Amino acid sequence: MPTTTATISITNDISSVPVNISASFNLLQAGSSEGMDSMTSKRLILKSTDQVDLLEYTAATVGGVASTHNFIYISNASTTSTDYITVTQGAAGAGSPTATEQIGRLYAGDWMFIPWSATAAANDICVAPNTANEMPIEYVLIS
Amino acid sequence: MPTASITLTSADIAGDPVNVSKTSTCYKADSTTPLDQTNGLQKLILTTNAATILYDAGNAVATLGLGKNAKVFIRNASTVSTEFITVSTHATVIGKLYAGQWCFFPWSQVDSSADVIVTASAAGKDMPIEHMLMHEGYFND
Repeated sequence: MPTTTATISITNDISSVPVNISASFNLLQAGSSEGMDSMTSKRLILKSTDQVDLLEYTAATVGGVASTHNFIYISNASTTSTDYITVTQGAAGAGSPTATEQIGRLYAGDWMFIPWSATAAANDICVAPNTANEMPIEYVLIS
Repeated sequence: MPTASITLTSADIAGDPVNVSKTSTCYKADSTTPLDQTNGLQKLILTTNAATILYDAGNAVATLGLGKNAKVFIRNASTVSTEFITVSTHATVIGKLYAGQWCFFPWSQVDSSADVIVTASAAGKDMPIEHMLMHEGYFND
């Protein structure tokens, strides 16, 4: 089985007592010692403020079976500091800004890495840019 | 300045090696001014499988500020491979973190129900959780 490793390093020097965090793990299938074995990676240019259904929950289907344990990396590759995408989870289709719950905003250069339990249409991962200017988005789905 | 870096590597998940590497500075919303408040790294032991609010948006809306930027780090520090925590915002599950796994994401305190919640997979397991919030806004606004 493949070995995929995720490592994070955080330097938090906000307070006068800095906190440095470093942690890594191998991406394993749920409750298993088997490595995740499916991957999708894409780079998109968004050019509208319409919401985009970035990852429909069916994207996490592996071998015809819904995968309830996945990881997603999303990055806003814009270089304009005021450009952001709003990342939400919900059942909305493309262009429909309803029925989603906001997780947070990724500004230019920001990234996020989350587990994803894709079990129902309400678990689609959607993004909406704040501007109609070209905004590059990159993501990786590992299942 | 607070920074967060990720590397995502695999030599064999695809025909060619995968190597994703990204570092970002944690700025305030619509700004190049760094986030300036934090609760530091905290550790707690979950002893029940009841939903536990890590970050309360009911307070956040009043204190951290609607539309402000915040970054959340959560790690399941258990060493038992079958133990997991479920991470949610609002009432919607994001996903599960098994032993040793972590997540890092932006948090918009859009309304009072946008809490960040963790739930242990089982009661009576003494499951250790580590978490940290970096944010902006005024604590007594």
